[in-house]
Amino acid sequence: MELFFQLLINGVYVGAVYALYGLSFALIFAPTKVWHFAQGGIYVLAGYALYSFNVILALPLWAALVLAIALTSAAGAGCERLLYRPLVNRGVSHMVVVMASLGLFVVIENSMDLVFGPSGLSLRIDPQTPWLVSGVVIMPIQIIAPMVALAITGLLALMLYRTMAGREFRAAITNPELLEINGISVSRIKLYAFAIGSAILPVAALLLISGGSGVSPTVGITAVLTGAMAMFLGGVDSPLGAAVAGFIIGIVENLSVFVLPTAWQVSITYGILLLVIMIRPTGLFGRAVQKATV
Amino acid sequence: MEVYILGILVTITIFALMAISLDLLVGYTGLFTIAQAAMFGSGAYASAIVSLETGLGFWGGAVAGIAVGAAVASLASIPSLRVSGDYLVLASFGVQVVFHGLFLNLDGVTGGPAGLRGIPRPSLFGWSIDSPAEYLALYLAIAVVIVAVLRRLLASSFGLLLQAVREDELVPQALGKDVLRLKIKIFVLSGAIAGLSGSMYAHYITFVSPESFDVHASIFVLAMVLVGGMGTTWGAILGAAILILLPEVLRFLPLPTMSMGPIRQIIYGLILIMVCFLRPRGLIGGRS
Repeated sequence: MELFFQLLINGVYVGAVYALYGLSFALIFAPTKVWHFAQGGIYVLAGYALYSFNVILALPLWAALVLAIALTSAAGAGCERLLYRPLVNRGVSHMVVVMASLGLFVVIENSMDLVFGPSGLSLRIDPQTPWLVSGVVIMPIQIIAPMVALAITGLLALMLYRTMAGREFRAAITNPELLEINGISVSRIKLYAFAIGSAILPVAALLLISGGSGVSPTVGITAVLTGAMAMFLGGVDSPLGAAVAGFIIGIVENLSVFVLPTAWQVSITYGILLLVIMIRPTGLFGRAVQKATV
Repeated sequence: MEVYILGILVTITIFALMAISLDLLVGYTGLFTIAQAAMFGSGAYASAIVSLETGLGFWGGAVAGIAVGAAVASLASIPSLRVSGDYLVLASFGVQVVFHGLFLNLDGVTGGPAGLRGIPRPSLFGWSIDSPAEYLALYLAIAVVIVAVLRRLLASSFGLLLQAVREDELVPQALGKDVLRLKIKIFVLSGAIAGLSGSMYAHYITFVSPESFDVHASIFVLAMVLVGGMGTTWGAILGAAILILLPEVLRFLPLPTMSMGPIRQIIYGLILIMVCFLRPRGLIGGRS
């Protein structure tokens, strides 16, 4: 039973990070329909930005986080303005956009490798004293992370469902043409989507790094695929569903250790994803499905 | 030097076949999948295991590679019958990750992270193939046969039907064509060729390990198809040649060894972006 709770705690912690990945991916994908693989690059960038501000420039952690958020939102917006929009305006196929995004991902990932080296780097974070609650080890970050993730999700829910800007954002997901007819610029909303979606990444990176993992150039692809997975599980067009799905993935991944060795974790999660796509393509909270027409 | 160049040509032949197999799905039929390394890897492992365990050599291994590649592809085709577009991209990623996990974790069968060593080299009528020149002759012969057969097939009504599915699934369906069966067929064909190229790879390198068949390998092959030009067999071949040759050319630049890997990758990424902007239909695909 102790093992179960330990795994559950670990799962909720990792799930919080996954929820932020999912939220970030979904915020960008829902209105733009861009497979933003370069987001993996932005995530790596977020990690190294935190490292540069916190360790090289010796700024306090909060200041490093604020600066990293500013940097990644600018980078995200840059992706939209300098890469995706020009490509889409040229009328290239969907797949070409994906390829360009993969190309940018490779460039960012390896630039970081070139500058900072391939090995993991750590931030200046005070060592945490774990609590021992009836045989279960709990690190403070494991409590903080879910709270942060929930707070961000709540904030976005408020923005999406209680403000005019949120209404416009949701309209851009379901009916961009109508929005355009009403004189509201969809391309501006897309730009915001990229900026806000990217702004979440340094937070996710910091939460994960605080749990003891370092900053390394290879973490990008996992982050973006997990984010995509959370979004599809939660249901496309539903950013909040992506957050919930992120938590579910984290918990399932960790509890699966009960059944199979840790090495199988990732395969299990993707196996479940495949099953969900086959059985319920709408995801848990989604609506529209793009079916094969046979 | 001569051996080095011949070696590169052998690698290009293997990857060109793999790129052609992916082009059947992505280029001809419009099934956007990123899981080719799963089929390539299954073929490579199947071939390695059969030749190591049974002593049937390259030819027995190749048959196993084709069969297993086709079987894996028919599994991978299941999502495409249910969903399309973005869902299919993600589902194929799922297939890729699951198979990479299998290669990595089925220690008893695949040798786990260490992989399988000592895969026998091919032999032909008692003549053992072990120099790059002999490899090139054998592999090129195999590739030419396959390309010739494929070009006949793609020029037939079957090829037209594939393109019709790419343009609009509903039209061939309205004409009473069985699109479902067609999709399974093209997946199986693609998987068989990918499996064969995997087998050729295993018997050339004589060593297989999971990292050769990860997500990045699938993306690499997709890049070949896109750079060369989708829906054209020559495009896939050209794309494979360019993306294999490029890092080799960079080898001759005076760069510190440490930064060699990342610089190559950065140039690879930049080329992808450039092709997207300048030749979005690939080098052979003409201007859009």
